[in-house]
Amino acid sequence: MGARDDAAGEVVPARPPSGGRSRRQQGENLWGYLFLAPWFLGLFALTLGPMLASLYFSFTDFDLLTAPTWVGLENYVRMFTEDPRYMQSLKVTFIYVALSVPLELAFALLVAVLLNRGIRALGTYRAIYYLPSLLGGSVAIAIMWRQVFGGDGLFNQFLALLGWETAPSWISTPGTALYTLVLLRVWQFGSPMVIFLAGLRQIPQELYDAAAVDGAGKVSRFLRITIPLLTPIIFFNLVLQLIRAFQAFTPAFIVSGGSGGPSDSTLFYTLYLYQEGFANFRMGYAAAMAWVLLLIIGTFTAANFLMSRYWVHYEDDGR
Amino acid sequence: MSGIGGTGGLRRGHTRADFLRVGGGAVAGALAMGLVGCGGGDSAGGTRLRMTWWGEQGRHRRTQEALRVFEKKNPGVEIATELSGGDGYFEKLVTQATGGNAPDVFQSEPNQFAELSQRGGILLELDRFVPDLLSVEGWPEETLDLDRVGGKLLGVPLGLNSFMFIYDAAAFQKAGVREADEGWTWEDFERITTDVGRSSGGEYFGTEDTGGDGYVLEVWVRQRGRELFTEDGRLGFEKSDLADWWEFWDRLRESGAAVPAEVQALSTGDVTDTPLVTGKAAAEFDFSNRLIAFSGLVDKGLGHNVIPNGPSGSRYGMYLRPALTMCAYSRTEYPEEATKVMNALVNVPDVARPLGTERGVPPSPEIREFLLPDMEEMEREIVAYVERVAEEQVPMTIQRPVNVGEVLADTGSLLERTSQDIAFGRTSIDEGVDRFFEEAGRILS
Repeated sequence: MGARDDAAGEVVPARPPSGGRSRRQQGENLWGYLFLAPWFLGLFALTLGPMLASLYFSFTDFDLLTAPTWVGLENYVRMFTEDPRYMQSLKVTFIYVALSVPLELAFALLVAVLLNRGIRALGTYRAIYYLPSLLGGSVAIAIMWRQVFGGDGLFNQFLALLGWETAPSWISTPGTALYTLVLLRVWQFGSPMVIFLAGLRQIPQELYDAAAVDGAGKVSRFLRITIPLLTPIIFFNLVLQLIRAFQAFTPAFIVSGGSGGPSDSTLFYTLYLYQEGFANFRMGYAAAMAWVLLLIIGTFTAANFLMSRYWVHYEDDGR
Repeated sequence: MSGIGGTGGLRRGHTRADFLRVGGGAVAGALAMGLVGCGGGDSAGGTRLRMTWWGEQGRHRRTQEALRVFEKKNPGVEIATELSGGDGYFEKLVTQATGGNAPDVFQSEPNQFAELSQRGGILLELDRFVPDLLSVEGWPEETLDLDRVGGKLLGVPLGLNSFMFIYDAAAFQKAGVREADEGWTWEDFERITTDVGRSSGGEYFGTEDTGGDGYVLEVWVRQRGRELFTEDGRLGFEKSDLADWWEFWDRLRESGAAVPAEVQALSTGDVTDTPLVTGKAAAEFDFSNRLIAFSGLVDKGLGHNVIPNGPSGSRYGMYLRPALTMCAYSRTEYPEEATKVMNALVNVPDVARPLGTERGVPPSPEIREFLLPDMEEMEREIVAYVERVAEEQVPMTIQRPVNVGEVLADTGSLLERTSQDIAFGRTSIDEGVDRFFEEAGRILS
């Protein structure tokens, strides 16, 4: 499906264009392209064909089992004019992205800062904290989430200990189901955390020392040194996590048994796309949805890059 | 021979036996869309069939065993099985069929069968193999009716089932409920489940909430003299039928007889997370053959009864249906062998034995007789139950339309979603009914 293709590829912090290219740089570029070659090969041999096919299907009425018939823009029009479930899936997905991405990044940064204080056995801790992310996308974890946040789940038993006996069944109540999935996302903070940690370890200690000599407190040092110097890393994580959050599928699929329920409260965009394409035999419509998702993600990513000028500081600025 | 060849079936005058004895030359192009199989498997080289179904562990075990017996009896035929749970099974199958590599033999149920058979070109037509490779001798006529589309036989029913009310016997006893008889009505049902819910001390509710369940709704609608669908694939019941139905369940939720919305929403169609199995409700509606799966999952005694009847004088709502249907892929390389396998599952005693009645009561009276001595008590009860329904039933002859799953059969169907919205108080019953009819009309058009 078009939208499942990683629109991001690799995000490389843009370098300001320097003057003429030296010979050495050209050599480096060649090597760069050489390393990219396998990816290009995959794109042209495996991905491009299906992508173009799905673009064609998006203008057709295609039920998977009989030949597609051309309907022009009908699918795209229907999406925005007469499909309340589509609008619901957009709403759910936007709420999910808006909540889960900032929370996940903040949490990842917090843990990274705590881990960066030169504790012993750092490697072990790092591995432990990274574990949920390794498991995160997995079906097993989503099933566990069902158990934890269900009516008699672990979470409610814990609340009962605190005296709240009549807590709702979080995953099967329309008002709260989506937030359990946001929480699941935040819990998988491992990969941004590891990247943050790498960034933190590159900030020269002298800067902190100098600031301390000048009388800067802890908070001030964090806000004036750590954050500004970390902005490229924050940006990198933000772009990546945003794309991933838009494409989230597995947790909602498992937790709601594939329905996006209760009452469509966890109907993620990708889940609705899957239902329409594979369960309801509207593959043309699903393909159109996929391309719209690609546009949405593309728009957000582009906006991210445009805005990055105003808040991301690269150390080699003005070099 | 009963009714094979019906109307418009592609029957050939000659038996196919002599044709096949030649060693399976190319099968003449009687297949839809000109998808011609490549003839019978070469007996010397061996035939490798792919087969898939969904189910729980118990069903996998039984089926594997049956297939092993088949392989012993048919040297040279090897069956590669692809096991699956119910989740995603159908989506995967459709995708494989689209890509031209579906398994040779696969299991489906009535709603899936409706989709596969009416979208054309996926299912192998079986009429030409009857009776040489596939025997339907003595089967009740209506069993085959539902596996026939446009006069063509497109599947083999593995077993018959009907709907069933299944309950926790101890909980009912505790509430002092006397065993309801088969003449019980929806009114009795309401009274009983309310009592059971009350007597539980808040531990469980009287019944699950089937406001979003198309099968039980179907019985309700039929009792009122109507059908879920018309012959031409539209809704066959009235707004008032659905409004009464949802009002009934609303009342049961109010009184604590039925589980609240958030509990019902935890049930996603898998037998393992139904309210009866998770201990949230003392009763539940399901298919008769699933009683076996249920009893394996709970350590309490289960009783069963018919679905409650309408008020006296109303029509009998339940009917027999092919619980599960085996189909062969139209593009299989081995149409004869695929048919042989399906035939063995329902007609060859030693192969059918391991299956028992787990997929429903076998359609062949001979196999039924053959299996009886080995049956456990519960299986006997199910057979007796199905036979009683057979006597009472008004047979169902209407094939379900395409998109039936989306309207009222899938997890997350329009019916289930709307019922959920009402239960959570997000929409009124009248609004829900209007919305259902409007959207169902659009989906079915």
